Amino acid sequence: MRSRDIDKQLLVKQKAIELMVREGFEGFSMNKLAKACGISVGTLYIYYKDKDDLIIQIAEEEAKRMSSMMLDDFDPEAGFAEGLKQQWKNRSIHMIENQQTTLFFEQLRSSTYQSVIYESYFDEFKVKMSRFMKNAIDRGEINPMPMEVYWSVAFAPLYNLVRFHNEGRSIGGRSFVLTNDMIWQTFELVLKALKK
Amino acid sequence: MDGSSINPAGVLVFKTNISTSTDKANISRLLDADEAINDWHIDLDDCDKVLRVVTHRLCAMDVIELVNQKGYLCIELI
Repeated sequence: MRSRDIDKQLLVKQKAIELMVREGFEGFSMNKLAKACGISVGTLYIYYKDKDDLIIQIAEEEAKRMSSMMLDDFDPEAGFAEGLKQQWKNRSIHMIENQQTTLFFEQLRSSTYQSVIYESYFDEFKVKMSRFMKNAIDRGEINPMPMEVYWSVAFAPLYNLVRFHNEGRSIGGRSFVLTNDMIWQTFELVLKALKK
Repeated sequence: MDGSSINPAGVLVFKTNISTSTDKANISRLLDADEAINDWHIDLDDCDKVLRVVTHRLCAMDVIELVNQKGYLCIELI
């Protein structure tokens, strides 16, 4: 495919995510998207069969892209503190840089498309994440615990800070900007909670 | 519009008045039976009732004729 078409497809994807985040899945339509991109509806239908197909394809592509970025410089064989720190670095950077996609994922999670997002996180990501946790348990760095308990302590605090940041508001609507200091202060607390 | 008219993927897109699932059923036997059509889909949720046909052998006029045979409107979207 020619590069101009690839550029056009990228524009379509970006605009589609923006529109869906702003108007919800209900308010979103192929016609609105075509208008927002300045292309004809016909061109849009060359790429996608319908709205459902578009949502699923974009969700899958974005989940693959995000999960691959989250593995940057991450070694599942690394020590627990070092590996978790790299994960926090990757996740905070990518979730803040890809704010619209992060909001799109949250929207998907609370919708009928929920299963798409869980299935699309590619296998390498799932394998490396669970291998990292298992290594830490085997080496006696953390106690054995269900995956959900681990995730809720290891990552949910960061996700919450990023959510505050992306929304620009925290508890009670206070305006909020996330700083590096806050990220690493929270990280130290998480590390203290998990490490034996 | 550039790109779409060159149609590298063999995708043709039409606006139709195929509005209900009964209309869709009327047209589906014809499209299913055509060996030159690799795949087709109608978006009944869209106001243009967009018909999307994947074919490497038919041109837009061929598809329009097929759909017209069943009494439906079909206009190429470019």
